[in-house]
Parts: sequence; structure tokens; C-alpha cells
Amino acid sequence: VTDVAAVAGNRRSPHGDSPDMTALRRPVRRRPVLRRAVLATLVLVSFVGAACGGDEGAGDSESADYSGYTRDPAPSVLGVSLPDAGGGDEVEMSAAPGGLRIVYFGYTSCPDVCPTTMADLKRALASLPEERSSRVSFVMVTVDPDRDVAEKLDAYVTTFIPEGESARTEDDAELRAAADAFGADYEVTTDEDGEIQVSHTGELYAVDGNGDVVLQWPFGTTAESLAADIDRLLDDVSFA
Amino acid sequence: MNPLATTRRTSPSGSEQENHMTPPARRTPARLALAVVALLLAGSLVACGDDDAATTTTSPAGDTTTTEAGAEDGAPTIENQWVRPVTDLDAMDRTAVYMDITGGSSDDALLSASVDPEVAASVEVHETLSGPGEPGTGDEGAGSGMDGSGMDGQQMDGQGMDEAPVGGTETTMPGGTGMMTMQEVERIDIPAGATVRLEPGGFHIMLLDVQQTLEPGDTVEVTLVFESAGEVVVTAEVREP
Repeated sequence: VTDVAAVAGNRRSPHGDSPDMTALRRPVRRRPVLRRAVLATLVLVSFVGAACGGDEGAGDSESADYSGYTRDPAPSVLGVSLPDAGGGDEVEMSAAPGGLRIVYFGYTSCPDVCPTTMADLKRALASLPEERSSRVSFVMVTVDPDRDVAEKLDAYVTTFIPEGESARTEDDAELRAAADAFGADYEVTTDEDGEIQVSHTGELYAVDGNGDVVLQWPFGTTAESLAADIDRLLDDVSFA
Repeated sequence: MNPLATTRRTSPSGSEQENHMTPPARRTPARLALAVVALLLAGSLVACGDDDAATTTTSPAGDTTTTEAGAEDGAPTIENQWVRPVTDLDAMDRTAVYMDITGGSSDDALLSASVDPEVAASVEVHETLSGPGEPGTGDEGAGSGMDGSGMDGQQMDGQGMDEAPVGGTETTMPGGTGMMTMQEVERIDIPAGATVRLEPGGFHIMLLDVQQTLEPGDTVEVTLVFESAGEVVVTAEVREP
């Protein structure tokens, strides 16, 4: 079992020991195809394992690996903050000591990706015991501040995560700096028809009390996987 | 065996995810078997870079029925249609409709969709893509669906939710940022007998300027316009993913 202190301390992915994941990073000419093949194999293996293992596969997340991944080195967002949606207080991106902060860069005019992720996170948190989920805070940073006025942004976030916070700045340099700290990216453009096109990193970031991004989840990570990872992270960050 | 084996419950569809919460025990093996078959299909297609459309002839998320390709009258058949809830109009004014479309006896294409203007002012067919891709790999991976048309794009997006983490991971390994973008598409090709999934992170029908709250349990009538089959009206239930 990899504990999060080791992950953060070594700046190493929880998948770092896996030969399969190592293969993913090997620079080869047709990388995407290879990655897909390897990942498809992993997915297959997981299902075969689940199918053959019967009940063994259920509930043993303690001994299994994380579904999310970390970067090498893990980004630090210590000291990074943005104004809250109302522009009054600063919202810290680091978690409180012993807590876990989940950060998302999104926008409210997003009918597909954002609500999928938000609904999955909502279900993940709801599946954890209250004493666990109460240690998890959430903040959504809008990448589309022009359209995401304070009231709309707040309402959007709290629709999914009642205690969730939202951050918004019209200063693009400030927003860009915050996104860069996470390794997140976004782009808002207006096409020839006048339609606003938004691209954004569709990931969730988990930040500990030291400001380290200890884990991040790609779009499409299931609520069950999120919950299992969060549960394990909480065991580890309690010592932070 | 990789330790991922026991926890990576990557799910082929949204509804499958929910079923993991409280799976009816007697159906689990069958579901898993179906999922394995679907994933084998998807995996082999991905691994081989096959140019065929990624299709499944059965739906692992299917409630109790099996999707049989080819309707009697040749028109596409629609299953598992649902609408994402809008519970607060101050919070969101857009939502998405998802469904599985199985081609009939001949190739067809979804061209547009509409709903009652009292539900939403306008409707567009959209696709979510991974990208912009990493420099130098624009012709592969994230880039393959960027034109939003043709079979290649569908291959990327027709494989169920299992593709999403895979694609996401691919573009979010060091050097990538996991950027996703959404764009309108002119058509979604529906090959004869093949099932194309409109699902989170892929194709979807977007309702813009939603005019009324859509609570779980409500229904929305959606008129689909196909190139050959013409109009097909489906009733989609509002529900959580």
C-alpha cells in the first residue's frame, strides 16, 4: 500500500511501480495507440479480474492502487488563492490541515462534461460516511468569468455540492497563474458565428493541507473510484 | 495481475455506474460478462487502430433488453434515452440528452433534433472532444475526432464510458493538460445495424436556453431528424446520470 506521504514525498505517481504504467510514458512513435492498447488491456484485466474474482474484488480498496494519478513532481498550489464568486474573500486552493480540497476548473454553460464530473463527485461524497466527507471541501474555479456571474456560479456549484465554494476572477493573468499552478489549461474563444467556445481541463484535483496536488482524476472517473480514492487519501492526509 | 484489477471499475456507461452502488446480485455476473465482451470489442478496435466504427451490438447498460440490430422498417431504433436534470434555472440554462441509436437496415445519419420551445429555445447536436491535442500527435488520439465527422471521430466516441478515462489519461500524462472541448456537429453517422452511443463526454444533444426546470421523473419529447428515416420522436426521461 502506497501511502500519500510517500507519494507526495517522492513526487511519484501511485502508479509509478507498475510496469504497465511505465510503458505508458515511454516515448514511442505511435504513443497514443500504444497507450490505448495498454490501457484497454488494463481495463480488460480489471473486468476479467472482477468477473473471476467474485466478491473478492469488492471493498478491498485498501490494498489496491489509486484510480487517479499524480504528476511528477506533484504540483504545489501552496499560497495560491482566488477571489470567491462574490469578490469578497480569497479562496485558498490548499486544504485545511488534515483535510482534502478538491478543485475543478469549469464553467456553468457546460451541459456535458462539467455536470458529469460534478454529479460523480456528488455521488462519491454522498457514499462516504459523514465524518469522512466532512473533511473534504470543494471549490470550482470558473474559466468563463464573463458569463459566470457570481450568483449563477454559486447556484451551479451548490446544486451539486451544497457546501461547495466557487472562485472567480476577471483578471485573466490571475486566473492563468492559478491554472498553471495546477497544470490546468483553458481557452475561451468566440467563433465566426459569435458562439462562445470553451475548452478546459476536465480533471478534478485533490490538494492536501501542504498545498500539494496529491492526486488528480481524468474526466470519466467513476463515482465509485473517486470515493475509494478519497477515502484512502483521507487516511493518509490525517497525518499531514 | 495488476493491482488495478480490483478497483478500476471503469464503467461502460453512466447507468452502469449507478448499478454498481446496489447491484442486484443475480444479474451481476451477466452484466460483467457483457461488459467484458463490450470491452473486448472496444479494446481490440482501439488496439488495432481499426477504421471500422466502434459499435456494440449489445448494451451493457441496457435495462433488461438486448439491442438487436436492424429495425423491421429500416429506421434507426432508440434506447436508453435520458435527459440531465435542470433543477435550478438560475444555476444552469443548458442541459444534454443522451441515448443509444442503433442503425436500421441501411446506413443513416442523425442530422438534427428539436424539442418543444417551452422546454428549450434551441437544440444543437454536439460532440465533446479531448483536445487540443499534444503538439506533434495531432493526427492521432485526441486529434482523431477533431473534425467531428466521419467514422474516425465516431470510433473515438462510440466506445462507452470506458473510453473517457482512457482518453483522458492519454492527454493528461505529463505534458498534457486533459483539455476537453465541445463543438457542434453537422451529423452523426449511424451505420446499419451499429449502435452509436450519445453519452457523457461524447456525442450529445444539447438543449440551450432551457425554459423550465427538468426534475428527475419528468419526460421530454425529443424529435430526431435522420437523413433517410426522417423524423423519429422519442420520450426521454429526466434522471441523474
